[in-house]
Amino acid sequence: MRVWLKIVVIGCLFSSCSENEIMIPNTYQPTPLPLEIPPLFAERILDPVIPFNNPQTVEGVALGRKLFYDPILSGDGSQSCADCHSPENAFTDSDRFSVGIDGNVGNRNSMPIFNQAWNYDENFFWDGRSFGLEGQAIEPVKNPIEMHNTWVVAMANLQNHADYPELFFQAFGTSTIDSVLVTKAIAQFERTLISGNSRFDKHLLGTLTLTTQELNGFDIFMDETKGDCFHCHGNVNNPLWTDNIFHNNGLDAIITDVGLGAVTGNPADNGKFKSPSLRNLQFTAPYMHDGRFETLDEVINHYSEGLQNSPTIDPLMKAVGTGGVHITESEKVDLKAFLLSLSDAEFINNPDFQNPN
Amino acid sequence: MKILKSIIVLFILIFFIGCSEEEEKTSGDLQIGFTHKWDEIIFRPHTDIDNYYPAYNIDSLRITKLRYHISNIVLITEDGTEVFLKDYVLVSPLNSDAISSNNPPVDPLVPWLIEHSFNIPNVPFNDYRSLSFTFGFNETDNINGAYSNLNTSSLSWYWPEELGGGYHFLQLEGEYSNNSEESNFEYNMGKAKVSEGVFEPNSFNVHIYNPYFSFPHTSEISRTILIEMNLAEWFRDPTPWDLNIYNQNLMDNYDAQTIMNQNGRNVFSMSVTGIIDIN
Repeated sequence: MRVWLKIVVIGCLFSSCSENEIMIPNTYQPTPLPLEIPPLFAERILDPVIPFNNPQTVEGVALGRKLFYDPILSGDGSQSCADCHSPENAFTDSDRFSVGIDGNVGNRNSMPIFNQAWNYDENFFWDGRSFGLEGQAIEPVKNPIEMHNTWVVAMANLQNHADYPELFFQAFGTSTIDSVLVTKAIAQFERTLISGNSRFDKHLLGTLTLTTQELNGFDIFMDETKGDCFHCHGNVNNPLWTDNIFHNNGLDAIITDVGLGAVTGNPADNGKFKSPSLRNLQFTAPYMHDGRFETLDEVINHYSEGLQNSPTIDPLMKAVGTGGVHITESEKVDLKAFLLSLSDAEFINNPDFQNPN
Repeated sequence: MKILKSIIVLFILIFFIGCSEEEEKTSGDLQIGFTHKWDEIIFRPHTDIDNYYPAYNIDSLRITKLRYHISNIVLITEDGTEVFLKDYVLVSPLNSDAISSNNPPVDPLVPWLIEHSFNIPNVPFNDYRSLSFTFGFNETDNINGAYSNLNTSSLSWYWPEELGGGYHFLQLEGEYSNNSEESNFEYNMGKAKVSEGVFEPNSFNVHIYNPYFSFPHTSEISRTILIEMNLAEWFRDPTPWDLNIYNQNLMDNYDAQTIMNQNGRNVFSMSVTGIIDIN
């Protein structure tokens, strides 16, 4: 009996050890790289969303940045992510509709990319069809009107590249490249694209005094009877300047692009698109999901007197019957001045975000 | 052999210790759920978004947004002892995330109509007689920007400083039809601005008496308190709400905020699911 007991005890000891022993020791660990969170974000809103299986690392961010600017992911090697998401435009472009590698265009304006780690619901694209930054990065590569490639080809091109296998090893501990790791790296880079140093941020931090016009504009922004912009576009305690959710903002009486409605299948969502952040408007024209407005003046005029009624229009759209609340020309000028105070030149010129290739 | 005996004795001891802990259990999990209706019609988020309800002085209305928060939630025993449950909770039944997190319901006895619920662990067993909470925040708690999860972008829960600051208490929005003409309404509630720089807290206390609520329960099935909001009451009692007058831009409207405060006192009721001990 003692022999059997010894066997059982020794067996238990080995079985408890075996969990550790069968694991391949991972001696390589990339270097953690915490996000540089602006003080107002740290103070006022919840922590950014970073997937537990894709922590930020020095090597992962560097790889993602290189991939973001490398046309290797496209079908003919001519187009990178940055072609439609360039830093000088706060990571969108200046076209109404971006042009893909075959010269085709879609029907949506390229979205700017910044502060995406604070998109708590993690619904990406104008219509929210992708979940997570990693998930979002899957689509453009294989979209026939964008990069028009297949992931099989893209992965093979990366695998056969002189540098990438080593860079993937440095980032993820493996030189076997797949689409999951590619999107993880790109997402890591995109999470570093943080914009939080505009004139208005400095005003809130007490390091800069805004002009009277900018302050008047902020009052109009916050006034429910005038701009009432804050119900969708943030406030001093939501420095993202977006709610990251979906609204029908009265662009059309007859809705042809149903937006979120096509994703959810719910007719009540027809005509709803994600509220974009009001940060960096100085660099992100044209505006709206279909880039129909070339200037901020056109945008303000739309909300003031151009609203179109439709079955799913958001109740926040005021006085729809008369096209809007009709703020004065002087109020429009002030509102525009405030909106532009949310632009962050330091962000678009940040050397860490430029093309490394 | 002695070792084997020792192991057996050890197992028996562990078994009995485990049993005795269960016998001494003095607290348990309590689920708080929220449900909404328009009088007798259950308000089902998403599927009922196109439902129109009759209301005072208009043809009908439909609701496209409903969010509110309650705070300082306590259970009260017959002798007046208060058991604190939660500091605050935001209820957002039309928010798809909130729905997905509670779908399917964790408790098989909880009806499907619960749109939002949360669990309170370690609630002391006792005979409770009522539930009390504040609708919104009281003046002390309604601190501008103090709650980072209420600052969360998707809520737009901020109440402008020019109107007294703090947070919204309620966002009830939709569309109403009158003489076949459709218009939007925003029934937004928060601090009431009396005059420039003078504000009233505008929150109110809700005290719901329920004579049949006994906790503990006799099985492992968790008990659920259902807080029910009758949306019709916001538009009815004691002051009939005329959407032709009060439809938009109400945050800065003292009269409208006052009526919301009065009407809101009648919107809540409560029931208890699970095994109910009737004393």
